[in-house]
Amino acid sequence: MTELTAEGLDFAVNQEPRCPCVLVLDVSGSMSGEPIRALNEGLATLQATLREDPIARSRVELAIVTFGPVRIAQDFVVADEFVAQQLHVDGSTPMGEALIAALDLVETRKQAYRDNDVNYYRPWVWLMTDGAPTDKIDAAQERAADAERQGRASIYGIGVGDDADMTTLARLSPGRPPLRLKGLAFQEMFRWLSKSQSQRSRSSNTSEVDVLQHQPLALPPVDGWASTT
Amino acid sequence: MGQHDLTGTPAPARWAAVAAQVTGPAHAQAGGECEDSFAAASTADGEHCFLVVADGAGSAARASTGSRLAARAALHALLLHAPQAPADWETVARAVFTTARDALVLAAAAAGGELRALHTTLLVAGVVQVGDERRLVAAGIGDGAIVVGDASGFRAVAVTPRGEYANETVFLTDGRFADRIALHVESAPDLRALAVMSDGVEALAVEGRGTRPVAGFFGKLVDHLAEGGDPQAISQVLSSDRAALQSDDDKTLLMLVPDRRTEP
Repeated sequence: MTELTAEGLDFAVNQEPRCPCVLVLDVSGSMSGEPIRALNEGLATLQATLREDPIARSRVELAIVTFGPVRIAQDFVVADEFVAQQLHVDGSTPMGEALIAALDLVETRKQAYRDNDVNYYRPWVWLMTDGAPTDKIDAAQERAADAERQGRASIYGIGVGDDADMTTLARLSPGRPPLRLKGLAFQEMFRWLSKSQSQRSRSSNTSEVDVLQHQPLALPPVDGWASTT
Repeated sequence: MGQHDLTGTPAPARWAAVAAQVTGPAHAQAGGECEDSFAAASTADGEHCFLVVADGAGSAARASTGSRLAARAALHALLLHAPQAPADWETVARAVFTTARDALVLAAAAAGGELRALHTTLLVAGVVQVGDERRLVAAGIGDGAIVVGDASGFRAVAVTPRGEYANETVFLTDGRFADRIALHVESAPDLRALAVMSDGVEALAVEGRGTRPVAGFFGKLVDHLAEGGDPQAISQVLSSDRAALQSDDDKTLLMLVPDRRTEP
């Protein structure tokens, strides 16, 4: 007998192809004050903008992993049902462990898509930090390199503020150079993320070969919120 | 299968091609053109008929040019090669895909641009006569679907190998194209309908990653056309709000159905 699960029913009701995106967010002590407030505002903007898009709202799926300590603050949920929660600062910066948790979450979710015969897009992992890792990142770096090489996910590294360790971010997002957030422009960043997920969630075909060769995707310009240095 | 069961309708002596194409709402809103192309023809003696659909990649700069050149070159090559070797579909199909790709390589070189600016899928299908035997032939690279209707219902053929991700595919213009061509040939005495469609239509009408045609969708179309219904109605279905919600991509559906003018 087929097991009846809430998840299975969700997929039965919504057969749309899914566009998964996991936010891996640094909420360590250094984010206290204005940065965490701006981040929370940005998440609320992400919730609002994705819901405005009639296609993205049923296709884009969001999950949130916070560090530290590493916590799955939000397992994958379709944008329509995503409610931005207030994140609070806590603990140190186990960035490597957080990235591994996120990549595991992605693989589990993809298996659920396959089990339920639902198509899906290449997952995005959005790794954001304002500091340097407090754990060893060797294992995470290996997982990240493997994920990019095998096409399991695309990892984007985002540094916040002058103390963000861009070298580590580059090691953990080997497919593309990390971006540095302009000031605390989280709102603009999440608006961009929403827009690019909306674009991706439509079937504008790209070449599998080009993506593996890291040909740049046609995404909106990032200069409203980020720089590459 | 119910009312869409094709058992009992006679195998047609001649075929008619019916096409419906709508520009996807995303392209229409942006003032863009349809990036799908199609072509259809039969040989002068009516022995062999072919359908071609090409879908220019949304991410490619000259997508509509790519699909148009590929569809045209493929149809010419089909009409040239298939009558010479109707029994050897694999050789014919490979020649057709190579010819179409060559046309794109030349066009890219002439424009001084990259081949990837012309990224396109290519699906071809048709009916060929080999002596007394009627054969259904199909081949494709990239997404989109080829659906056959016969006495046992509707099924997808030449299902192209799918990558892991919904919006990523291998194009005619990619380096690995020759390994990724899906080929199909079968004896088809009971063939009643053949449909070739771009992925915008596949999103509405074929489930399970291009493997399971929605019988109700194709059955209703075939019934509609068999009853002399206006082919324009198909375009209206493809441009409906409901279809737009399923896919805002361009939608092209090209079908071979029995030619009513030759039916009793």
